[in-house]
Amino acid sequence: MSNDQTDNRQDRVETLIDENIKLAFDSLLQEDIPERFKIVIAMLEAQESSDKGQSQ
Amino acid sequence: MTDDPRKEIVHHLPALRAFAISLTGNRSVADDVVQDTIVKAWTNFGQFQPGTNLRAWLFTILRNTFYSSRRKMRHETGEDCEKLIESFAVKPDHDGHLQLQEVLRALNTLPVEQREAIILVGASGFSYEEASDLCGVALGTIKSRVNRARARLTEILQIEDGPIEMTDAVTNSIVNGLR
Repeated sequence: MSNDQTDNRQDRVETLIDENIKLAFDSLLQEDIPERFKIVIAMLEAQESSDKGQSQ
Repeated sequence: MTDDPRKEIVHHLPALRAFAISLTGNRSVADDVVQDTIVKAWTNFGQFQPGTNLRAWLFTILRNTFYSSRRKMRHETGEDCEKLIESFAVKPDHDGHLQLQEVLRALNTLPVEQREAIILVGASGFSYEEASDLCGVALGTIKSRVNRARARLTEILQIEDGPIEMTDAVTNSIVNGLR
């Protein structure tokens, strides 16, 4: 196999690896976000409002 | 009154969670890491410089949170979460096909430094420069980690020899486009 063929093969394999990792990562992106994250943010907001109310 | 800029964090939660799952190899642990990241980002938002990359800032917090909890776990229990991850690792079937689950399993067998490097550069859309900033290492180190990760994945997924076959339609179109 010539160097060019080896390089092409290597490039193709690297592209495949990257594309498959991207696909795997994208499949994780499609998952529903747990409700607990929104609850945490709501709690942080409520905590801040409460702190502001007390300092006024 | 303008909206609270911290609300932007919500838009990044899917990517943060995907990165956390990639790092930990475990959804439950990943969700704990994301939750800690949300609290840290929310309460330290004053340190974020407007106009800079919020996503990179959040990924940095998540990464630091992950490594802190990993160190804590090692210190307190003597256990290494890498071992936990390895227990999920299964060799792919010898049919030459890549399935997403196989890719995720293969990813989880990589050392965490290589795993995060290839996820950041190969999947999350960060440049090598951004990834090196995010990980606090030299540009050459990130490039080397990505190359080693690719080489190892090529080996694990057994796509070095023989024809490359994909079961996934999107991947097939990519491969066909290269031929």
